[in-house]
Amino acid sequence: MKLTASFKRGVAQAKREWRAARYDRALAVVSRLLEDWPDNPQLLTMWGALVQLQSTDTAATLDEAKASLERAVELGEDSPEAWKELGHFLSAVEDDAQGASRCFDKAVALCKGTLAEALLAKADSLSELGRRDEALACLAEAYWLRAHNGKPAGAAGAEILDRLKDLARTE
Amino acid sequence: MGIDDRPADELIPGSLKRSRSYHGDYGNKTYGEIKHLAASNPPDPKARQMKKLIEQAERLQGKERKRGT
Repeated sequence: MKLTASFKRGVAQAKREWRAARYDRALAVVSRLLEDWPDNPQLLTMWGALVQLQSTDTAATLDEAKASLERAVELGEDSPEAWKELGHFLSAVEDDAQGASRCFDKAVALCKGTLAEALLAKADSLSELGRRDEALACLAEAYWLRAHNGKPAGAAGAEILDRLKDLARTE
Repeated sequence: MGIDDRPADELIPGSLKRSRSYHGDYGNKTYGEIKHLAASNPPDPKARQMKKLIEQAERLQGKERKRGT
């Protein structure tokens, strides 16, 4: 519990420094946190981003920033934030539009997946509350997301359609 | 002075100047000039790369500010 509190305090401090444009101090805070949590994707992503904002030549290299973002993606495969940051790095720093596009695809797919799951769960809650029309809207949006997520809606899509039909039948 | 009137060298942090996309000979051009060159036909490849570096720096600088509001 103490560790979690210290992690949260540290991240909040780094974000305060970042907002105040003290990027060197923000980087120092994140570097310290990484000593205790070396495999934390959020910290690795922040570190990779902050290295790019350093004004001095003594800071870590861009290769190290990229390695940190790649490690964040590897460890937090389901984190759209890490994929998005790596995509921005590849696009802006390495002028690699193809690599960037692959990263953004992954970030978009992860976001859509999470959004679809949240919409399905919300549809259940709304249905329980008797808010049928809103529940139907959530199911329809979830179905659309699943169908437009780069792969066939498949069994999951069929299940959503069944739920839509069931709900549409109820008064 | 708006961002469009500021020279690229003021907008790109030192660490991003080590990128292969940074071109020192465009460092004195303003962001507005760089945007214009990047949008020309055919586009100026150096301007296009410099524009992306400037926008990356702006995005990263504003990232936590935006979330904090």
